[in-house]
Amino acid sequence: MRDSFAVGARASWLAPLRAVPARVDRDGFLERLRLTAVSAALAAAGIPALALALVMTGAFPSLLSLTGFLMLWLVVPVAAYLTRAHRAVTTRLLGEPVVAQYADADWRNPVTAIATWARDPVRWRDFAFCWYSGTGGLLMSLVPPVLLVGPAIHVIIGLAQGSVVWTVIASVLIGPSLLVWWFVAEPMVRGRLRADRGILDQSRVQRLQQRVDQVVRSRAETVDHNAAELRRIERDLHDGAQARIAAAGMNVGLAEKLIHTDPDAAAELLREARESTVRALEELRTLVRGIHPPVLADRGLVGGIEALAIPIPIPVTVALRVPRLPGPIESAVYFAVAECLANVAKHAAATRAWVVGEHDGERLRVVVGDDGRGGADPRGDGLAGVARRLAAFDGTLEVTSPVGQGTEVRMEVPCRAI
Amino acid sequence: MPGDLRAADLRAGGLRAIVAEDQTLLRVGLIRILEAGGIDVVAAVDSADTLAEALTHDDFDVAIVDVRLPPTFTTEGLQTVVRARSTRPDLPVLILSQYVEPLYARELLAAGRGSVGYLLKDRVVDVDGFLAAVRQVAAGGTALDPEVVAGLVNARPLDRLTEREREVLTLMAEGRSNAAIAHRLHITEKAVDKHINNIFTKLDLPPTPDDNRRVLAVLAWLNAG
Repeated sequence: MRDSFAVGARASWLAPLRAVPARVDRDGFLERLRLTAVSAALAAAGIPALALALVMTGAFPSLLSLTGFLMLWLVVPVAAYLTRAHRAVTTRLLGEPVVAQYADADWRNPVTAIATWARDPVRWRDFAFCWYSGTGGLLMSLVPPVLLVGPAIHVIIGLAQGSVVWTVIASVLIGPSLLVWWFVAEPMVRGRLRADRGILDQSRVQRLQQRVDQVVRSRAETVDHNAAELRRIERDLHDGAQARIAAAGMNVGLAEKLIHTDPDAAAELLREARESTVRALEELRTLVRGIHPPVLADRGLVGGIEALAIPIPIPVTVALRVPRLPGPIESAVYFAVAECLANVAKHAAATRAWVVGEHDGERLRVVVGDDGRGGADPRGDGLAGVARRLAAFDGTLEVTSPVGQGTEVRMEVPCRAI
Repeated sequence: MPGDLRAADLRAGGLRAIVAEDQTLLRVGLIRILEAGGIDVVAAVDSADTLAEALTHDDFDVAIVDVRLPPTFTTEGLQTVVRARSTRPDLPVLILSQYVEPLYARELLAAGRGSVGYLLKDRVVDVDGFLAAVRQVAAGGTALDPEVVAGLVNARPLDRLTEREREVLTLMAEGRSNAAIAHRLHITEKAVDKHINNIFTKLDLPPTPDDNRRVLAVLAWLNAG
């Protein structure tokens, strides 16, 4: 039932809560109506939760018997389904993630599974939630629907039983009850959801721990990546510009020696030396472009990516609404897009490609897509490197590339404009 | 050692060299310069393995080797040479590099006796100076890049020496002859001799009349730091 609520309900039913003005209007009424329905559903979900809580509690004393054992083995996952649905609903209604990570357990083996569950704080949270949802939570959630329809139902009952007093008292109560409902519905639902989050959301410490793990990993990857980049730059310089300049120097030196005895040979050596210096400059330019492209520094991400699109042999549509962002982020996204476009040109066999992106004040989202052959491997060297580079800024990269249906690479980086 | 010098002088025109350099552009440049200087290039190799093989032959007077060679592009050239000199300490080798590293100079000097050079590739641009260095190494002398020498000299306390003595020491360590030092500092060879004697006394080095051996003694002293 909770599942159907989470998945099947129209999106608007689970839209994030918003402040409702006290002013009486249609919008405020509909919003309160929605919240009352949500509250009723939460109350209804308390009944199976209570049943689960009773079964689990009952299973503890009989844990040593086979029945108690099997009961727990069956019921704990069911409780997880219920709390998972609650987490999803709370996440959407509060607009903030409510998540928990269960300890890994092989449910097919009841002994190890129950042993793992018993040590998993998240499972204990599930247990606590079932009790709360079936008792205090249920009562709390009943308040808005009861205020809305309670007196009206009593009027009907009074009429049905022919009791004038009952009918009159209930009718008189409709007004105040609705008044209270008008002010109480939203805070009540919000309070209930906050309590849900308090129980269901993994503790702050655990979340910080995960965050630290993630930062440690991405920092190590960043350091690796930087070291590899520096090594590449050193190699490029050593084998490229440095060698060419040394060769030019040798030619000039030899030409100097030969200029009187063999002027023709000297002239040829000088010509070679000139070519060498031109090539050395070209290589230095390429290298500089690979470290920090001048166009990116001058024009930001939009200009940088437009410049990237020019040498791509197929038409590339660039539609970006992006302000100037911090330099390191511009650079990371620029190279990410460069890698994607290079892949398009090299592998996709596409007829057109596009780079679309926007910045909503909090996050930068960029999509690089093409209509080519698809089947790109997100774990491939290039894309994996891009993902690592973005991860250093808490960015993510997602590749959708069904065979024959083009490729889309979606990047997201949290950042503020400068 | 003086015998070696004379022998090398006798065939100064017809020196034979091995060139080990993986970058074609530079290998071709080196060969041209050597041949313009009348030095025969008997083998030109581009990897550590082929160099090691070439060094086992006896048909050359000097090997000119790039520090960095395939397969790993780190210091294979240097390592190959150091290994070869552990069995033939007087194997004449001139190491070329795009950067100089005092540590490598130390390893090079520690293996073998003289007949060794370590120069920046930049120095090749001074064609005559480079050819002179090649001949010097072939004749059992040393040719160290001024950058290397500066690194070694700075690493040792030389307060006891005068400014001029330090200059002489530096030029000696680079492998220059007394005549060249005299010319460079605009003093007489006799004055150079006097400075060298003072240096040897102050550094507690045993006196020796042979130029080459004096250089080695100075290098060994610098290297010991």
